[in-house]
Amino acid sequence: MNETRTDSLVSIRGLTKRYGKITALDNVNLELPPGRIIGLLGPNGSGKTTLIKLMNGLLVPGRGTILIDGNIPGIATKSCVSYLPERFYASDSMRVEDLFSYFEDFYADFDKSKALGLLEKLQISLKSPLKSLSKGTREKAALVLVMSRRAKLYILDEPIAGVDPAARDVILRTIIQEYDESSTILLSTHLISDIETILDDVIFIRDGKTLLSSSVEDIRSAQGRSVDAYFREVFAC
Amino acid sequence: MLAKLIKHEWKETWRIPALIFGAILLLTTAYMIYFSLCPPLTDRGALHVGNLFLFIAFCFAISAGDLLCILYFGIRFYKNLSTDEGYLMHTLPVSPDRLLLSKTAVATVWTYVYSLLLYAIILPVTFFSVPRIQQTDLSFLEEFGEMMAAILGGSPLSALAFLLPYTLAGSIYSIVQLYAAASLGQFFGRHKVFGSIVCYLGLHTLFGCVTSLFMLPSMTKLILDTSQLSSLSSFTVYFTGMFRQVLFAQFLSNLAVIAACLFLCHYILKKNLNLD
Repeated sequence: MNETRTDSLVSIRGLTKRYGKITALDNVNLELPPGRIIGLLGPNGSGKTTLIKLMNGLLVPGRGTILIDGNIPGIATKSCVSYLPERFYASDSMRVEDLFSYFEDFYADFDKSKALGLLEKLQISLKSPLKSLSKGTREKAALVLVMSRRAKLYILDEPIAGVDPAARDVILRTIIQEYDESSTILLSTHLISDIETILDDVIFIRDGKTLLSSSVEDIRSAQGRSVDAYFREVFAC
Repeated sequence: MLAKLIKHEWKETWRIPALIFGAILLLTTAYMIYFSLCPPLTDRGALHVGNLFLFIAFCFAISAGDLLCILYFGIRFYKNLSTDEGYLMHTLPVSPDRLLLSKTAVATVWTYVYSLLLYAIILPVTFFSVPRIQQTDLSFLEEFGEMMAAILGGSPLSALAFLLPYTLAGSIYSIVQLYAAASLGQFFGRHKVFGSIVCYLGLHTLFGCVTSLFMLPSMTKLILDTSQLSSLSSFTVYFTGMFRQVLFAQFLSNLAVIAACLFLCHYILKKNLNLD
């Protein structure tokens, strides 16, 4: 994934981000092709969320460029990127239907009937106040809305962190079932064993640098073990 | 997209200002009932201290309502664009200026209507209450009305034509000042709230100086030119003319500050967004 490809959906060149004296990302270069499920893997504080926030225009890069579908992060990229942040972003006073109407009003690619069907399937009421829902249910509700967009790129930041194993299964199933195969999913996590089976490619990131960018198959055949086992070896303290 | 942003902003914010409005209207009604029921003063030298304190408390309460309304929109701006809620707002496919405009528009409508409500409440209530606090001859009211009209433009219509945009500028000024402070607070790392407060104090002082500078020529002339004190009538004409100039200078300085604040907010949202 590192070589320059003209058909890349995402092209990142020399990306650097500093917070004061701390370098969160250091000269990152990446090419993400369309139609892949890519795991962005690394320990806490490795720079995963910073990279994702930069791709979503929530941070301004110090140096370097990001192109998503040929555009720098802005209105055009926000129209084709569906993003699930690590944090829950709705205000306490909102109901599920309020969040729903944001997606309906602002994203032309939002599939309303698909979202309604998924919410019903997961037994999440539109009338429920978000603050009354458990963390797992809130995560599921947000994921339903994000995955109900027909986006070119889905960016899911730690979608299974902090939820119970049953909710994890539902979330992963929703991701796999609802994603359009021509789209790309970039999924960040440190819970590799849970998601390894759904990944096509992985990017290892540590101290703001990409250590590895490869397909899961290549890792398995070259290392003779699972991505999770290889990750544990690479990131062993 | 702007209309949709305004719709959502309105939907999420109307409850608190409406509650403040309701409370103020209830308070005013209760206050009016009390003052219409309490007996008039019979002694010309007497002062009804209880009523005086009640009136002062009422003035404080409605001023606090205005302040709360403005503060609510300042906090809303900070929370909605600079905390976790910003993850939703900043990933919508809209430009930062649309975000800024939608928030300013909704907050301005509420604070503007609140200001107009204050005009509608405070003057009649004051003249209604004064005779119950101390025996007063209210015949000066007519002169007062004429003087206010002269200051604001001469006729009731021209007075209104000045007062409405003047008040509107004042409402936007109060709001965008808080927005600018909240935006600048982003540069304070982990102490953004504290940074925003410090910035607000700094901006408030700075803008106070800017307003004073705008008003300085008119004020200086007003103070130094004592030749107009020769007769009361010429002084009144002179004073109202000068006071109108002072208000107009303040209006212009408010517009300048509004433009500066909006530019600053837009620049930070577009070029320096760094969401935690």
